[in-house]
Amino acid sequence: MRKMLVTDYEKCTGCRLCELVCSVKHEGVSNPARSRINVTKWETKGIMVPMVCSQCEDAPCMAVCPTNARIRESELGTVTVNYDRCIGCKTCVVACPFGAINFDPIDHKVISCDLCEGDPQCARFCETGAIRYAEASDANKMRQREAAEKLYESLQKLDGAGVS
Amino acid sequence: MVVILGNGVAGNTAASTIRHLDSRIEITLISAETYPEYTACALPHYLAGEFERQRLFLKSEEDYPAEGIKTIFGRTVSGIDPEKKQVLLGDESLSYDKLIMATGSRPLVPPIPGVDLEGVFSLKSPGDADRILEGLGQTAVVVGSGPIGVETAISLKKQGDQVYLIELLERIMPKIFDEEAASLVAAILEEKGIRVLTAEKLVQINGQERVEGIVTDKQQIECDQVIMSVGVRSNVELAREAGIEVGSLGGIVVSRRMETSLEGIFACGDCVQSRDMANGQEMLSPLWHNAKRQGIIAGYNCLGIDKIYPGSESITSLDVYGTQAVSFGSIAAGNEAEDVEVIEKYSGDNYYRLVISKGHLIGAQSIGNAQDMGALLYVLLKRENLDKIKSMIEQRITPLNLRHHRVGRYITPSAIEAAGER
Repeated sequence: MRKMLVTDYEKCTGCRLCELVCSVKHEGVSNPARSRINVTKWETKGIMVPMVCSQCEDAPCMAVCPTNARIRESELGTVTVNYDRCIGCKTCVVACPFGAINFDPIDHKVISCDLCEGDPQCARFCETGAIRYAEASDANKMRQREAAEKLYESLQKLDGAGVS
Repeated sequence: MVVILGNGVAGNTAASTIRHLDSRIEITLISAETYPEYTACALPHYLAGEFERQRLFLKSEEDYPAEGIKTIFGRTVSGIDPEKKQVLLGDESLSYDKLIMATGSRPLVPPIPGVDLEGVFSLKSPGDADRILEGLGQTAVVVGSGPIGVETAISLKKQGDQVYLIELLERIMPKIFDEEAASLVAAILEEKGIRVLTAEKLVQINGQERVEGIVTDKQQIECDQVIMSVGVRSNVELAREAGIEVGSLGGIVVSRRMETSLEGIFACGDCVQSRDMANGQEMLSPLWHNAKRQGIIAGYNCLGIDKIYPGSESITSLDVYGTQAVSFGSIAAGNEAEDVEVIEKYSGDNYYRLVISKGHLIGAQSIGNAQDMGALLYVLLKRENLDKIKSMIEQRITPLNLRHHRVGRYITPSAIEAAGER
């Protein structure tokens, strides 16, 4: 069974440690701008969402790439970049529905999650368990669903209390 | 035996798809060009001297036999006999069971005096780029300001040329951007020293054998090279002569299975006209990603495996000296009949404009950082109702639907309301 990164918005505190360890692992520097995972803050709502490549089955980035540079690695199922082919046009960045492809402003290249060869550092360092590297099993999907429902309920309560 | 005419992305994708599905079927790919598959999208980088020539190619000559694909390169197909199911190569003929036409498109060359002179080029193939590079001078005029024209102008500027970019209409990239976005791009080009001349018409190209200059309706410009980038035309002559239906837009008419009006003959890529996924209208969409998907669909159906083409997506993304210029779907200009509303905003260095018609997003333009634009693309393609999006944003269930979270960055409930009231 293939493993995937599972994020839980309720548990994310917005500490951005994931961004730091990601950039250290891949670029050798601690620079969130060069991270492949990004915590998106929805400030008015106080919600933190770790955004990372979903390694989509029918990946829009692969479909739009004009040089066939976005390729599926067979081992982990990740969608990665063949930099010999990539021309840096960023069409993949634009087409990703999740904004999960980043553009490294220093090396001028597109970057996205490669699951750290099977040992994703973001999940390893996430102190609250908001990012986990788990099997994409049905049980897991159910847990996600439960968490999602819980989140929905809590937001409805916030609405009722007039908090915004 | 499957015969594929054309060695571009559509033909090659069809070939690979068929091979992936059937390891034994005979596949022959015929191309008038002698290059292995290349990507025209990388040509501007090669022209600018940023890439080695080798990086233009997606395949080597050895990749074809390795994939079990026979090739006939450098030969022109003289006709198709649909009765006998044969492709004619001069005196020779080649039989097929299924035929895939992926004959592509060619640059449009307007009938302007002097257009045949040495030093007048288009940019479509590696050979075109080679010839432009061989003849680099001091001054170049790029005629037509679509994405190819703009990218060519940037490339030649990077090579040290004095560059003029001439556009017949009031703004550059007139099919892709409305006035504001186009002027932002033009300002960047001007700042880098490219002379952008809009609302100006090329009348004549001067010279004895070689180009010496051009004449517009406003001025004369001395130059060494002229690059024509006024659009492309579908290569449909073979199809038309074989009795295959060609549509009013000038592309081969295909079903949603990419089959032409003649059974057993499929077509894909720049040579076909297709439906716009966002509005269902017939369109010509000579874009890489559409050609690729069409090639996959043609490959499946040619083996009798039913697969439907969902429609073409208009996505243009180009890098203008580090600023990303992006457009999806339709623009507002020329769309007045559709009851169009716009929402536009500057946020920091970024500008965006959403084009809305009858409660639906029909287009989006962005100059600057476009990382979140993908969310809008899917609102557009799925024809999601803006009222629904508004309520999702308002009800704050967005973390359950991340796309709407990102849409919320561009479009606020109050802006949707305001657009509806106007």
